[in-house]
Amino acid sequence: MQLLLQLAINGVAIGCLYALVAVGFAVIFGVTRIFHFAHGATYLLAAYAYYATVSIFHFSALVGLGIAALVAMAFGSACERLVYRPMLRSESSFLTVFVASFGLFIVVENLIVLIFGSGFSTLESALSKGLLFGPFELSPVGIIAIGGSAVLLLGLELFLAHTDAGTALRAMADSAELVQIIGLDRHRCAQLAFAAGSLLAVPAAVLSVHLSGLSPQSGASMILIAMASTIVGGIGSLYGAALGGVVLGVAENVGIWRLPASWGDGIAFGVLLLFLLLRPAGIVSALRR
Amino acid sequence: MIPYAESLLIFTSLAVILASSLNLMLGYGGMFSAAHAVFYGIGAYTASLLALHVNSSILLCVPAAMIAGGVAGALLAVPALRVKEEYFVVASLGFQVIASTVFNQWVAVTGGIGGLTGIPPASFMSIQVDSYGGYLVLALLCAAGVLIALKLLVRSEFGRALRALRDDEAALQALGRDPVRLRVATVVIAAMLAAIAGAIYAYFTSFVNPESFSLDESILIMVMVIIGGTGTLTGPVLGAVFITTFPALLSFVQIPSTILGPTQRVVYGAVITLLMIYEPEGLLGFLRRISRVASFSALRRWQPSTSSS
Repeated sequence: MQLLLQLAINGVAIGCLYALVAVGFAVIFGVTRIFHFAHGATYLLAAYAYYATVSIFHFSALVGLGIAALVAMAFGSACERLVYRPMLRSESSFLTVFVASFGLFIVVENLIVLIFGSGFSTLESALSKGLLFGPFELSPVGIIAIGGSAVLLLGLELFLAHTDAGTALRAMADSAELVQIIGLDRHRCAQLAFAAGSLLAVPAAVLSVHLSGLSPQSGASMILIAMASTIVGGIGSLYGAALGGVVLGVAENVGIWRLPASWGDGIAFGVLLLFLLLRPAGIVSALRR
Repeated sequence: MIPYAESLLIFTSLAVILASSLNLMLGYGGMFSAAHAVFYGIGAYTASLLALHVNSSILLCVPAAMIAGGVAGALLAVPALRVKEEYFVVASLGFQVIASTVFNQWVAVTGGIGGLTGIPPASFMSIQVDSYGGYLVLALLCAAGVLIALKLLVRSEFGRALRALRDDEAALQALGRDPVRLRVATVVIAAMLAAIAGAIYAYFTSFVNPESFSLDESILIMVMVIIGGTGTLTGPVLGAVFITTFPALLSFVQIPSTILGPTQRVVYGAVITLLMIYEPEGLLGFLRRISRVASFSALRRWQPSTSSS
């Protein structure tokens, strides 16, 4: 029983990281209707930018975080400006945009393999060591993950609810045509959504470097989990995406209780398929009912 | 050199089967799946197990592989019925991840990461297929059979209903067709055809392991269809030939293999993205455009007048 709770706690910590990536993906999808698979590449770039600054060039973690944020935002808005915008001008279908995004992801993933190698790297720090809370163990990174993602999601909520830019984003999520009619710049809204969404992936990337290490393969599994989270939560709902991330994180970790650890991914996606079968509209709609 | 060319041709034929069958779902049915390697794998494992433990006859293993593939296809189709295109992509990705986990972990049946080894060569009646040439004939026959079957299917009433489903589901329902049954049938047929490629693969390499049926392979099959051009019979064939022969061309350049793989993938990725931006109809669209330009070009119209001289 104690083990089960410990696994659930680990699951929540990791689930919070999933939640951040998933919410970033959901912001971009909600505002622009672009299925941004390359969000996984944003995550990878942020993680490796942080790793390179801290571990190879020996800067402080704060500098690493700043550089990771810059890289992620630059990549996100470059995707919008250089790939998606020309495609949407010619009314491309969902599939063509998705495939282009996929191609972009493959390019970035393999460039990282070419530069950093395909191996697994870890970054040792005092923050990764576990602290004891009664019978349970949680590393400071885990605490930062849980607290930080709560703060960031609250910040996103305040931004969306109380700023002009946030209102514009919400308006665009409702109807892109109306936004144009009232004279807002659609492209600027899209840029903003990509910047904000990409920025949310940064803390997840940095923390997971400390929490579980990094490898070029982690980008694909992260974006898959993030997409699964948005669906489990219910597409269109940011809270749903966050909740979905936590649910999948917990499911993956609690599953290890009875099954070998390598079943983790399989369990997470089993939960996804169950939701698709039983509650295709996601957790949020199930709770409302 | 000749065995190398022969095995390249065999793999190209298998790729043609995989890409063409996926195209039935993707190009004609509008169902975007990133799980095609699952059916390829299930075909391969089924054929290997039967060949190892029962009999290596094609007449037994290939139909059994097709049935197993079809059952797996029905499993994928179930969640697909309830969700729209974005969701289906993710559902298929989930399906692929779960299947890969099973291939890796169900050691008692699949042999785990080590896979199944020593699969006996294919036999047909009393003929043993044990040469590269023999497998080449077998693979080419299967590819041709699959292409003919697909051509007949696409032209049939079923094929027309399928395209109608992709373009306007409401209209199809108004005509009294059941979209659910149509979708399930499409996925099942595509999965059965992919399983044929799996069986041939198992015979030919006499070794199967989960690595050959991973998400990467599924993506590669998808890329073949998209690079070639969806919704036509020629497109996926073109894409399959391009994707299988392209690495072979690169391997003549002296690059260490650790760099070769990622470099190839960077090139694929870039080609896919650029094609989608500039030529969403794929290589086929590109060729069509070229031939259109060529047919109007000055070269074509240049007719030296013989009468005046």
